[in-house]
Amino acid sequence: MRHPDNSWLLPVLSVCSILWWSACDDPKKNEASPVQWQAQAPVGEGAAVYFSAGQYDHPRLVATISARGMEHVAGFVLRLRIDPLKWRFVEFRPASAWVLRPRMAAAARDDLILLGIGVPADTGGTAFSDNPVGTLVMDVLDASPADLSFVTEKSAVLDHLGQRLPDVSFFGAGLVGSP
Amino acid sequence: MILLGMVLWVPGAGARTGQERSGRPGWVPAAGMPLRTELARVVEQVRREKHGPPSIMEDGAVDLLHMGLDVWLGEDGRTVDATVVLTVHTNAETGDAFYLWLDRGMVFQTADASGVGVLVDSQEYPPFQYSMIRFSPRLAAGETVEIVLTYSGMLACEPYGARESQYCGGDDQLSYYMASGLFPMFMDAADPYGALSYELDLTLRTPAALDALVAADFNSESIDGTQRVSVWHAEPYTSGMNLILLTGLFESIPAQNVQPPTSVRYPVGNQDYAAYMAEWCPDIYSFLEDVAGGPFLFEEVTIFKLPIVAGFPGTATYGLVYLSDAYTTSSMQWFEEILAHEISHLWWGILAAPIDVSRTALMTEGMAITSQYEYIRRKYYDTLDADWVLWTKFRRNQIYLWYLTDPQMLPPILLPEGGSWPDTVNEQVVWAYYKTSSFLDLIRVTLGDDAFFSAITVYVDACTHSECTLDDVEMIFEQSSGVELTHLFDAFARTTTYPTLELGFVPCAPDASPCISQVTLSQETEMSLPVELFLEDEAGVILHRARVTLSSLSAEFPITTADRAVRVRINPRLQAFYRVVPVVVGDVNFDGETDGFDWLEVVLAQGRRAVLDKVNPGLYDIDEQFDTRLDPVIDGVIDDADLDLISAGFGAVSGGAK
Repeated sequence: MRHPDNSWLLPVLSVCSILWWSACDDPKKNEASPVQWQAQAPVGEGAAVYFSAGQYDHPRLVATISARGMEHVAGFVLRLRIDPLKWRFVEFRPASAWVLRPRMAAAARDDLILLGIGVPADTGGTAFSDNPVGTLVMDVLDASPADLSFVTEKSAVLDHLGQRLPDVSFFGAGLVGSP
Repeated sequence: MILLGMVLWVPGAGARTGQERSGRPGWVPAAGMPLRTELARVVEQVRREKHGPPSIMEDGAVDLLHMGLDVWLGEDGRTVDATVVLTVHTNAETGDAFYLWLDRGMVFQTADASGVGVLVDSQEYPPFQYSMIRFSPRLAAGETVEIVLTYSGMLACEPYGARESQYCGGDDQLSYYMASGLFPMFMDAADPYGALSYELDLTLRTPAALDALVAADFNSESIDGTQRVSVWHAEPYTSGMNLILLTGLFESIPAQNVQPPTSVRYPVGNQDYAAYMAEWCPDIYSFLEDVAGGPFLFEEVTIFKLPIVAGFPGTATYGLVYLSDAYTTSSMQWFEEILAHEISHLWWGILAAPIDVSRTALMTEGMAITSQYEYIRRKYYDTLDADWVLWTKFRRNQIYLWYLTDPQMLPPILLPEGGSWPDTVNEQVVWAYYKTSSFLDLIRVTLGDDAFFSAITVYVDACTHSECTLDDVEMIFEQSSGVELTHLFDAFARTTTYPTLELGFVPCAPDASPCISQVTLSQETEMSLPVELFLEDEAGVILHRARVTLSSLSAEFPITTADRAVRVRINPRLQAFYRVVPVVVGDVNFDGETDGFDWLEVVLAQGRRAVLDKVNPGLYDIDEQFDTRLDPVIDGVIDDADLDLISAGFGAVSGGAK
């Protein structure tokens, strides 16, 4: 599914501090929910793709995918595994951090969400240093704990030469039971 | 009708002058329809206007048995006084007339034959003139007659054609003279395209101060006052080559350890790159000996390094190779490659000279391109994957075919009887050089290297100093390899075919042992097509090559690999002719699904164009790195239209791949 052309202009939704294990939701809004958003914080200093923020307002979840430790990034190939009984993919919106408007494709198939987002090689790519890549919008079908995990062998970051960046770690997120 | 007379031009691709590269107008090497073919078309049109079809009399009106020439060339290099003695033999019922082509500045003074009147009817075709020579009364079939003609005048040496090629020209440093200018070009009136084979005796009287070099065997030389009198001879099956004279002051260096003895000549003071050319000769000769099965059948070979001369970038003829050092401007390896191309013509068109050369360039330019690619591969990239190396070469062919020309509009490799070469230079070059060599490569992939090159040596053996046609080539390849090839020759050489193949892939399960991948192939029209499949791992390493034949509309091929294959490709060397599309829309990497990897490959290449966006793009105006996979719309530009197509299939899977 291609995103409408002006979607990248949409404001990036709330970006919380990038702390280990960030829980960015407004607790008041989720007061009645048995689950809350929780993202796995990136470990170490290396190149990483991770969820930097998320806002869960049942049934809508809006989560920001960010990246760090990367230069000359031409694009991301991301694949997430979900439980289709618990999640429904809505859309993916490019962030404004890109050097120019990225081209994006997204689709859901069975228990997978497939994303591709990038810019032409001749742009030289974009540096990502804790910058958002884009925003993932999901509907929660069943407010119970559920993972949103990257399929690492099918996820990659490509530089402006089309080469896959080595040693990139992917950190997922999910809904966990409210305390 | 017998053998040959043609100009074998070097291809223009890649040869750019410094001026061109800096954006200023520059000299562009000629490349296109051989002059003889172009002139034959002129008289064939005249003949058809008069007599209509049927078109060509295969046996022609006459056989030229011998040409004796005595040519005086003045100090100015343009004033000419010549006598030509022709011995012709008339054929059956098809007439007794023939044409002689000369520079339009020449005027016939006398025309005599013993016991019969000679009629000369001259017409201009600037900058040439063609004269029909007839007899009164008409000669009987089977008669042999000797005709003595004299001509004189001032050579115009003017450019002709869209690329302003020249048949004579030069300056104080070097002058060149070809048949149809200084020397008469003989053409059968009933079969203008027909090639010739005749014995040649030539006496040249040129300025004593200048060296003279002729494409023939040297006999003797003397100085007579202010004139250098040199005598030359060429045997049948060789003298039909383009007769070229060079005058100037020349130096030479020998090429070491080659047979026949070979020297590199050049105008005095123009020695740049000559040493490189001599140094490359042993490798080039060794390669060609291996391909052809023996050394060149000449007493000696001269390689003449041309300075940049308008309208004359290079050619090959009897024991002589001419090459302009303009080709050094791209890279020395490119210059070496083009030198290999030209030297290979001593086989492909000179010694092994197809009789249907006016209708096909398969075994002339096609083999010369095949030779240059393979020579460079063996010399510099022998340790790399041969398919990959050759694909880096043949990708150019595909881009030329698909994007620089309209492949559907290009004529078949074998022109239909009476058919014409394409009109534009781009079309002529792509048709003559690149479509032909891609077809030979299709045959090579089909047969495998051993069988292919074995067949080439058989071809050389059978067709040297002989009269081979494309039908003979087909028969030789079939008999030598034991593989039936008629359907391929019919589809890709005698007609124009670009089959679309739909390629599908389902990988084995990640933990499967053994790993059996399912490959599906389908086509729109039932043909028997050889296909080589490459199964690759995640890193792009080819795990397995499988040669299969698609002989039905659709077929499945389970392929077992030791390690897990994640994608399939059809050998890209086949893809000048085969248009390969994925079963899953947008799956440009053929891994069985359309995902972010496909998307990003196309996004990264956004804006790339196969051919530069300019008015009248030429052979130099292509992106040789253009990846045709990423242009599924096949319009020569990787843009939104391609992304739209991938978007339409994004997320789809052929089954099993997750």
